[in-house]
Amino acid sequence: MKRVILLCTVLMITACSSQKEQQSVTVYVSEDQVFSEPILKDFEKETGIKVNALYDTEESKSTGVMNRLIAEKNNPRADVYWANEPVRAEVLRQKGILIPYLSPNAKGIPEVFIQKAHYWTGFSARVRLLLVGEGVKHKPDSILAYTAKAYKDRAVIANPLFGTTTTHIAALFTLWGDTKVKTFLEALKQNGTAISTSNGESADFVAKGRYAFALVDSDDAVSRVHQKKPVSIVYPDQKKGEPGVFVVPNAVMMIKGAPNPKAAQKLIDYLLSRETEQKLAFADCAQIPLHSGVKMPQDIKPIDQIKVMQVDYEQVAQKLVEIQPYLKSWLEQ
Amino acid sequence: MIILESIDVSFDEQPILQDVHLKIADKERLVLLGSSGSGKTTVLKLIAGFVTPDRGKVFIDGQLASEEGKILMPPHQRDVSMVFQDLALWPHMNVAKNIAFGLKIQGMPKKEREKKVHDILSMVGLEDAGKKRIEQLSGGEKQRVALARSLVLSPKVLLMDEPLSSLDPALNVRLRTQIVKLQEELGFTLVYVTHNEAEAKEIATRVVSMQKGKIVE
Amino acid sequence: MKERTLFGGVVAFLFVVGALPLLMMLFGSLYDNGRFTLTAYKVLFTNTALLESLKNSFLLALTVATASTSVGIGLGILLGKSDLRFAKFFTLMLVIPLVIPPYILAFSWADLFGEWFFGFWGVVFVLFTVYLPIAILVTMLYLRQIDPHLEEAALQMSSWKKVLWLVTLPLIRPAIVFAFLLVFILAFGEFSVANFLRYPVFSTQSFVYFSAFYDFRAATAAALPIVAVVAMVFWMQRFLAETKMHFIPASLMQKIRLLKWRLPLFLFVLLIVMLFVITPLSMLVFKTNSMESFLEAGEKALDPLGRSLLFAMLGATLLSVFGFLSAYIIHKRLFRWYRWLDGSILLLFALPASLFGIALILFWNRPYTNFIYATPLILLIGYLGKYLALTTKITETKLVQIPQNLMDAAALSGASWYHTLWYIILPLSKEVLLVGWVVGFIFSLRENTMTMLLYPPGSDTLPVYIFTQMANGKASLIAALCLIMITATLLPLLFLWLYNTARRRDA
Repeated sequence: MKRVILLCTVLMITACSSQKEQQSVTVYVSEDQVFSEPILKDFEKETGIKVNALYDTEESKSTGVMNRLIAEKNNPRADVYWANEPVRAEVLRQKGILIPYLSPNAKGIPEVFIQKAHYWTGFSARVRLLLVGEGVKHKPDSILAYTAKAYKDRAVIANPLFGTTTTHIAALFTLWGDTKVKTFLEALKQNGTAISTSNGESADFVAKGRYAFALVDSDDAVSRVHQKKPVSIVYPDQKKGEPGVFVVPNAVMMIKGAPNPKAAQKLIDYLLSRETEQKLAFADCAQIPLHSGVKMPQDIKPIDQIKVMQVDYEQVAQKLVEIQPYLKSWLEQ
Repeated sequence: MIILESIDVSFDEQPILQDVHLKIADKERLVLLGSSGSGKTTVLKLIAGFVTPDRGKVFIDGQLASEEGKILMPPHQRDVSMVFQDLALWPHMNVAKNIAFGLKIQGMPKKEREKKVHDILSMVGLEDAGKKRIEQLSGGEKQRVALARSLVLSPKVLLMDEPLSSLDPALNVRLRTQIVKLQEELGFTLVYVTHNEAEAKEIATRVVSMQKGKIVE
Repeated sequence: MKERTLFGGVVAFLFVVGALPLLMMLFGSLYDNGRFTLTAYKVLFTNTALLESLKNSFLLALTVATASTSVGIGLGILLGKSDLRFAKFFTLMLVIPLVIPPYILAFSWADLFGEWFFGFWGVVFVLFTVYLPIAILVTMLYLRQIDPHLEEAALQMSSWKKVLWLVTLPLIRPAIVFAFLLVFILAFGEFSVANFLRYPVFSTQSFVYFSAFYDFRAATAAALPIVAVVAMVFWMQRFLAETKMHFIPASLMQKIRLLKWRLPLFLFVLLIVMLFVITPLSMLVFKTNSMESFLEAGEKALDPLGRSLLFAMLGATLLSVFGFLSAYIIHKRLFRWYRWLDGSILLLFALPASLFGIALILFWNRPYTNFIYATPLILLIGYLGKYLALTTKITETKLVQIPQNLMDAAALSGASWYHTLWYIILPLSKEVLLVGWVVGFIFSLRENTMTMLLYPPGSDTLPVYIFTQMANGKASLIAALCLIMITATLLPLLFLWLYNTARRRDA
């Protein structure tokens, strides 16, 4: 018995004395681990700086790193946060959890994706596309197709209370104003549009031919194309006078009071580099580089060949909180 | 000398003992005789210090040991030993360890302890049983181990709670004589509880009858 | 040292581990910038979606508890009281869904059934298979306590069919109520399955909704109905707490002879095992589909698995030690307020892990306690607080069975309380400590929600790793990781089973 206690004490001390001499950086990550981990491993290899990463997923909204960052505000453990969309970054900025840092590698990234006071910087983006079934005649070329008679009961959209769909709708609110978006959403509903649980599910529905088209993230769309499903990709609203596609970049930012600020800057520089953008473009998530001229696969268009929706992500974040009750009641009607 | 003075005890509002007075002289063999539920076991536990009186006092050798709602002298200071009805032998120790336990607690050196255990085992006729596990013993052997465990500490008072009730009649009779012999040899005070009148007569120098929590002499 | 001083210290330690963080958080929810206010609690009455999810949770917990209890009692009687073939093996198989992380089952079933599995009935089904073993085991435990004479007397007058209905079932009524309440609480607070299968229940909604606003005060307030439900259930449970455990040796138990029903019932139980246990597991094997994915998973799982095993072993050790100490306090009623200790331990067990996790962050994340918060110690504190109820209750079942006379005899031999504790009670509780260790190990190992909130960056555990991989990870890899996780969980259980069988054969 005594020996067991002794053994346990020794084990406990070993487990807890994992203090490293080595330089290290702590990063909290909301981008899927499948895609982010290889990048961080490369960073470790190239710089010799040890990365302590903490991941979450869209599935763990309630227990995710956002809650942790906020709860740790008074005694931060993280140096860097890698968000998979800029709205979370905005929430953190408003809560006073970030400090500004302008990386030299941010040069070349369009201004719309960089926070004005440099609190966060966007990189490798998903864009919101229409995934259209092969057999569909008259392919839709605008999100307004959701309200068109031709697609009555034939379209599907992910639950607007979650994920990028919420952000997208909030962006439309800032662009079109309340009345126009609400009219659009009512009409969408009147037109018999189905609501799925996620973008991935929407994409599957279209791939199986249950619906004619769906508004999804580019990674969902590209993966279905890779799987040789009978679908094609449409970049919506590209014509003159139309708003363009909504872009959801990753965003990287530095935490106020970061324990390792030097290493944090190095990691941010690394994530914002053209090399990282290229890797993420060729990964399964097929994210679109925000620097121009970065090599990328042929399934997706480079950012400078796409008409991009011009929005202020700060406004979008504010709008997002504001419209939650409306979206709930809209959904429940 | 043990004195119980106007003792009341109740559990869950049920009176168990009512106004019990009892004096037990040194070296006598007192038998408490009564049917089940008469409160005789409670008297033993009162003397041992496991039961607190609701009223009255318990004196041991002139010292106040228990009084109303309080145990002033903890069991191990009373120089009292007890053989329980179910014997309460520790199943995870062998025979020798059961007997040596009290000596070990007292801090007696191992050699001395082993000798003492050996002596007491031969006194109860179980010389070779030291290494045996409790569940390997017969009923009568268990009985004698329990007795040995109580006697090894040379207590002034030995309390026995229906120790022979589970044995067959022949064995019962044989052990009665052994107990009397041991008491005469070692000279302790014996307080013995039973519901068997023949057993009581054979063992006792004095018999006290109990009924429904009262002493009826 | 005095007994009460030492155990007072134990209670004080447990208070800091479990109750204090929660009290601080509750306190925090009542103050805004130093002023007392109930504004955070307004959401409880104004938010219809939240109230809707509360209704969902209630309905879910009720359905799961009813289903698991009714089926579990039937199976418990078959497995624990009849001459069914391979009853022990079947019991072990049926326990598997309880000991592996439930979202793995959800993952596997959703894969088999596809989209229509998502929603209410999918969650009910998964949680039913997860909690069924609780009802089975509780039934078997209580069956072991029926005095065989009671049934023998009835059997002289009637057949088993009637005796079961009129004697046996009424005698195990406490088991029925207890299993129902326990499953109800667990299903009510369960998070990962409802989250995975996208059914809005209270424990997900109260947090998802507020994580949009990141308001811990409101989140605490929103958790209040859970506390109320738990408290209510405990109030009912008090009536059962007094039941004394008295085990009848298995050899004396009256066994039901199934006769002509023996084969059909054997096939029936076999079918259930095939359906509830073998199917989801083979789904995973099928998904893994190649040795390569298995090797890849093995390589990726190596580090997280090592950490998982280490944390779980340390957690299990703490849990069995403190489970023993608190069971001792409760059993001996060392303090007048021992019920509060009992109640708090159970409350922590029933509280959603996410809530306790956040409370722990808010409490321990300070510069001078970084040696706890920034190291795996924080996980150990989490496991100890969350699962202490399990080991405490397991130890208590043993402590009530040690006859008081054994302790009294030691006291008369001159033993003080710690001699009695060390030489008598502890050795007699050896087996139950081992069982507690294994249970503590399994539950620490499968914990996911709290671990995800608390693990120090860079030291994720295997369940966390699997969970994060589920977002866009390769299905074959995830399935292989799940298989590794299941194996790691089942090994100690198998070990315990073998140990038990060997010991029985010895005796």
